[in-house]
Amino acid sequence: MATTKTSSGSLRSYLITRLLLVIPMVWILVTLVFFVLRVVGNPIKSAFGQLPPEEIARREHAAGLDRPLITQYWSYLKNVAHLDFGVALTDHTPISEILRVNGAATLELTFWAVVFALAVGVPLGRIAARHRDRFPDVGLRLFGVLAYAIPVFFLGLLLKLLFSVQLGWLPVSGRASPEVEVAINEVTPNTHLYLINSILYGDNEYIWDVIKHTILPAVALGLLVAGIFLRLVRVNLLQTLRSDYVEAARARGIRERRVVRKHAFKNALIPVITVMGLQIAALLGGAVLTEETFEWQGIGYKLVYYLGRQDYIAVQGIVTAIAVIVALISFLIDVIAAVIDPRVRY
Amino acid sequence: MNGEHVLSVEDMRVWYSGPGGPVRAVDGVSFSLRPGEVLGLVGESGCGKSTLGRGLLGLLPRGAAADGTLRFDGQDVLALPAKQREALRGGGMGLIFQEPMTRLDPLMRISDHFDEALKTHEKSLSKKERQTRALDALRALGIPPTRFRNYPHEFSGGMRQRIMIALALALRPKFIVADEPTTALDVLVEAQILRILADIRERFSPAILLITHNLGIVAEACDHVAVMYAGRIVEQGPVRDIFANPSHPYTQALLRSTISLKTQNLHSIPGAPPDLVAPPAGCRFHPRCEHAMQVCPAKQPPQFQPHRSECWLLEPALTGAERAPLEREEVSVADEA
Amino acid sequence: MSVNLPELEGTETALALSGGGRKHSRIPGVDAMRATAGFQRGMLVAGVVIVLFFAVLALFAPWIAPYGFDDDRTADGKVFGRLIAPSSQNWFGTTAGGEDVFSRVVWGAQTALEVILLAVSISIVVGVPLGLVSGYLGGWLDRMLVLVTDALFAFPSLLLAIIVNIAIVGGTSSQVGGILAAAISITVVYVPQYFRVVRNATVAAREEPYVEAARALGAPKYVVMLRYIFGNVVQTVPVIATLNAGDAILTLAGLGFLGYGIEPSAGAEWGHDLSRAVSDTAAGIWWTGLYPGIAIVLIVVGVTLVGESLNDVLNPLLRTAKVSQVVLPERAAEQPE
Repeated sequence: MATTKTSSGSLRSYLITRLLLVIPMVWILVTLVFFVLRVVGNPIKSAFGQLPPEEIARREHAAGLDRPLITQYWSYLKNVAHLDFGVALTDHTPISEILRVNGAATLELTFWAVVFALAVGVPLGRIAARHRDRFPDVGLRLFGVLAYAIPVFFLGLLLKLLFSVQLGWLPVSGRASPEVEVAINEVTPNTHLYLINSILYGDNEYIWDVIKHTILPAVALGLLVAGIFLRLVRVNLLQTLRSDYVEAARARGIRERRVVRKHAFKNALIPVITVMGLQIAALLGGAVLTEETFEWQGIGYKLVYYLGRQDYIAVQGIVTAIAVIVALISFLIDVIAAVIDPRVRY
Repeated sequence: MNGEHVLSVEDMRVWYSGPGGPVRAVDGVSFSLRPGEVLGLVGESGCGKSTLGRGLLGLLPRGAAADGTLRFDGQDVLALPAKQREALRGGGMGLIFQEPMTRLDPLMRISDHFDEALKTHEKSLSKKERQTRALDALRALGIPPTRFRNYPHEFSGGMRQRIMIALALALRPKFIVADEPTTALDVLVEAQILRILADIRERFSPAILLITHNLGIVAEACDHVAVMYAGRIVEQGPVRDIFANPSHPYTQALLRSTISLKTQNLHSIPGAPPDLVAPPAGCRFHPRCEHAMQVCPAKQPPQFQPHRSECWLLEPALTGAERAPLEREEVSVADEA
Repeated sequence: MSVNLPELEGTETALALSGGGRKHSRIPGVDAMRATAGFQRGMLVAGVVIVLFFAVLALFAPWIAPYGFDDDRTADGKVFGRLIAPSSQNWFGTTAGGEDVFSRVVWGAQTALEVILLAVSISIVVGVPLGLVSGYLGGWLDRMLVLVTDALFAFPSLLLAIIVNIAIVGGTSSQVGGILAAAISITVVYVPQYFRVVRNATVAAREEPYVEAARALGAPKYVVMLRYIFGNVVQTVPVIATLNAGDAILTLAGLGFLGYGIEPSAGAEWGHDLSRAVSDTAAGIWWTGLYPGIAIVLIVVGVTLVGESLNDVLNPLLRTAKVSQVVLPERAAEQPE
C-alpha cells in the first residue's frame, strides 16, 4: 500500500508509540523491585540490626519507613519520576551520585565490551555462514557455544592468571593505577570516563595505563556477547542467503560476492541490532560479575558492596535505576532499528 | 523477424536432488525461439515448467544437474565456465519471477536496484545515463519518476511486479523468461501486465518464454505454445493451430477443462499428477489417458508432426495387439488426494 | 454429552520431524532427536554424553568423591593443609579453607543438578499451563501477562535472581538458604521464558483450521487446549528447557559467586568456590579456580549442544539438508527416432 504520509511522519508516530510502551515496562519493574525488597522486612533492621531499638525507630522515622506501605510506594514512584533514586542508608551517598561516578565506569566497560563483541562476533558469524557445515563453520559454532558457556568470572580469572600473573603484561584489577586515578580525577570537566579524562589530562603514559586496565575486563565481558553475535549473524545470514530478493539479484547477474555483501549480509544485520537491545540485560548482569572480578568500580561493583552491607535502600535505588536505564536503552535501540530499516514504522 | 534462432534447446534435462531420489523435473525437452517470439509454456503445477525456466539461466539449487544442448546467441551455454554463465544472466537472459512482493531488497531504494544492475552489465554508462535508462524503463511500465527513490515496501504488489519487469527490461536482454508473472496478482492487474507485455514486444522485441498454467493468457499473449507434462513437452506449435486442433490427449483435456460462459459441465483430468522421481513408463500420460493402448506404457512415443506430439495415437503403423485398449485399475478416490 | 473428536495425527512440526513416514513419537523431543544427521547428530551425541557424565557424578557423588565437601582432613584425622597443589592425596589440590577441591567439584555437580532440575521443573509446571491458558483465552489477562513478562525479560536475570533470593531468605545476614530457595530464585527468572514461548505457539495454533473445526464441532475450551494445542506446542518445550538449563546453571553460578544461592554449609557450589579463588590468583594459585570453572563450562557446553542441535532440527532452514549431487545417467535408448 502506497503511504500517503511522508516517511518522517510515520517514523515520528512510531517512536512516540514505542516511548509510551516504555512507561508501563518501567512501572512494572520499579514496582516489583519495591515490593520484593520490602518483603525482606525492615531495611533499617537489616542494615543496623545491632543498634538499640529507639535508635532504630528514630532512623525509621527519618527515612520515612514508618508510614503506610502505600504512601511509601507512592512517594517512591514520584521520586523515580523525577529521577531521584534515594540515598544510601549506611553511608548517606545519594544514589544519583553513584550513578554519575560509577555509572560512567560501567558505561566505559560495557562500551568497550560491545565494541569488542561486534568486532569479533560479526565477521566470524559471516565466515561461519559462508562455509556452512564445513570445518570453519563447525569450529566457529563450537567457539560460539564455548564463549557463552564460560562464566564471565571464570574467564576473567583465567585471563588474570595468564596475562597478569604469568606474563605480567596487564594489571590484575582496577580501572587505573592509583596515582593515575588520582591525577585524572582532578581534570575539569570530570567526565568520570577514565579514557576521556586521561586524554584531557594529556599524559601518554596515563592514557596507556587506563587502556591496559580496560583490556582484560572488556575482553572478558565482550567474549560472552561475541558468542551470541556470532551465532545470530550466522543464522540470519543463512536465512537471507536463501531469500527471494537474493535469488532475484542473482538472476540479474549481480556478482555473488556483492550479492552476499550488499544484499544478504546487510539484511542479516538488522536482527542483530534488535537483539542488541535484549542483550543489554545480559550485558548488565555480566557487568556486575566482571566488575566484581576485576574490582572495576562501576555500579555493579557498588551494588555488590551495598548488598554486602545489607543496605537495601541503596540496593533498591541502584536496581531501580538499572531498570530505568534498561528501559530507556531498549527504546533507543528501537529508534536505531526504525531508522535503519525503512519497513519498521507503523 | 529474421530466421535466426535466438535460443534453441535440444534434449535438455534438469534433475534436482530430492529426499526420495533425483527428481526428473525436466527430462528431455527441445524447443527454439526467434527474436520477438513469445512461447507460452503450459502445464499443471509440478510438471517442471519453473525448473526449466530457471535451468535456462542456471539458477538451480544445490545438488541439481543439467545437460543437453542450450544454444543462446550462437554459444553453447551449458559448456561455458560459471563466470561467463553468470555474465549472461540479466544482460543476455532475463528472468521475471512469480511472487513480486519479496523480490526486491527491502533495504535498497528502487533507484539503487537499477543502478546496481546497470553498473554490473553496462559498465560504459555514466551515472546520468544509467538514471535515464532506468526512468525510461519505469515510465514504459507506468511508474512515475517521482517514485524513483521510494523503498519497495511503499509499493503495491502490482507495482512491484511492474518494477521487476522494468528492471529486467532495462538491461535489454535478448531473451526473457517470465515465470507465472501474473499468478500472484488479481485479474485487473493481470490485464494491465499483459497489455504491458504486448507493448514490450513491439518496442524491444525480446524473445519471451512465458510460463503459465492459464490457457487464457496463452491465447492472448503468445505466438507459440508448448504443453508440458511430467518433464517432457508433449505438444508444441502455433497457438491458433494447437487450440483449434490439439492432437495430444493431454492438450485436449486441458482445453476441455477451461471454463467459459458457455460451460455446462465441468471436465477434469482423472488421476493425480505424476511422480517425477519415478515417472510412469513409456508415455508418461498413459495412467490418466482415456485412449491408452497396450503400446503406451511399453515404449516412449516418438514425435509426430505437425505439432511434435508425443502420442502413439498418431502412429499409423501399430499392430492390433499394440492398439488394444489398456486395462487399468479403477482410480480410487483416495489416490486422487 | 461428550463429542467424539477425531484423533489428530500431527501438526506441521510433528510431520516435519517424523522424516517421511516414521512413527510419530508422543514423547516430546524424541522426533527431533531422530531427525538429526551428520554434524548435528555429532553435536547431539557429544552433548548427551557430557550431560550423562555429570548426571552420574551427581547421583553417585557419595561414592565418587573421596571426601565430604567441607572435610579438611582424611577419615583418620590427617589434615590436608591449605592451598596445597594437586597431589596424590588431593587430586585437584586444596582450597584456602583446607578442603579437597576434587571432592567439592563432585559434590558441586550434585548441588547444581538438584537445583537446576528443581528450577526447570517448577518453571515448566508454572510457565507452560500459564502460557497455554493465556494464549488461548487472550483478552486482558493475556495482555497483562505479556506486559509483565516482557518487562521481566528486559531486566538482567542475575539481578532478578538476587532480589528474589533476598526476599525469600529474609535478608538477614546469617542465612542464605538452601537448595529450594536457590531453585525458586532461578525459577522466577525463567518462568517468563516458558510462558512466552508457549503463549506465542498457542496463539499461532489457535488460528489453525483444525482448531476452528474442533470448536465448530462443539469441543469445550479445555479439551481444545489439552488435546489439540498442547500436543503441538509441547514439542518445543524440550529445546527451550535444555537451552534454559544451561542459562540457569550460569545464573546459579553467578549467584554463588556473589554470595547468594546455596549457603556454604548446605553444599558445595562451583560459583561460590570461584569467588574464593579470585583472591588466590594474585598469588598464582590456579587449582582452586580452574577445576570448578571447567566443570561449569563443560556442563553448560553439554546442555547447550543438546539444545542447539534440537533447535536446528526444529528450524527447517537450519536442518542439515542431506543434499546429494545428482548425476545424470546416460541417455536411455527409449527414443525410436
